[in-house]
Amino acid sequence: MPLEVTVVGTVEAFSTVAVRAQVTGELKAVNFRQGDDVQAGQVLFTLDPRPLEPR
Amino acid sequence: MEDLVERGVGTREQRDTARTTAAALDAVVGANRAAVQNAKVQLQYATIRAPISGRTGALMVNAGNLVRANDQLPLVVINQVSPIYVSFGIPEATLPDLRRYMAQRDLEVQAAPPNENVAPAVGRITFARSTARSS
Repeated sequence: MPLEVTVVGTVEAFSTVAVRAQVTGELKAVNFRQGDDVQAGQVLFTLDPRPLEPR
Repeated sequence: MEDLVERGVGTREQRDTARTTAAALDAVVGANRAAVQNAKVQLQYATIRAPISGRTGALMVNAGNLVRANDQLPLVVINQVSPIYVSFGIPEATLPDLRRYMAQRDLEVQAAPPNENVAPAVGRITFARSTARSS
């Protein structure tokens, strides 16, 4: 006879990552919609690269 | 250079000056290489990729806005939901049983959304916090 306990639980993310910019610049494009499932490595944001390009 | 000095064509001073110049130019080449590498890295930062697979939360910024490096407010938060954790508390009275059986083997947990007739997801206990919660 197995012992069974029924309780209410809370679902929690396995891990949570806050995405931040590593350089300052104008946000040119957002390449996903909020709530989308994304894959690691997928491009999420594109900043204006011009100020970062070597002169 | 040594040869020219030995043959008396150039002075030792000229040789030393030439050596110093060569070393200085070498250093300039190295510095420029480093600058190119740095520029490449900076340029890569213009493309922001998802560090993990998961579900995105609310978008905190729209296109056209200026975003700051390492800003307090993240652009978006990604939650990894597969696998997923379910946390729950158990009555104090069952704690001795839990301790005993957990020592013997991995305990199975079934989780299902309330009021829905779906097959429960099966998991196992990865961690048991030892503190009591008042509520």
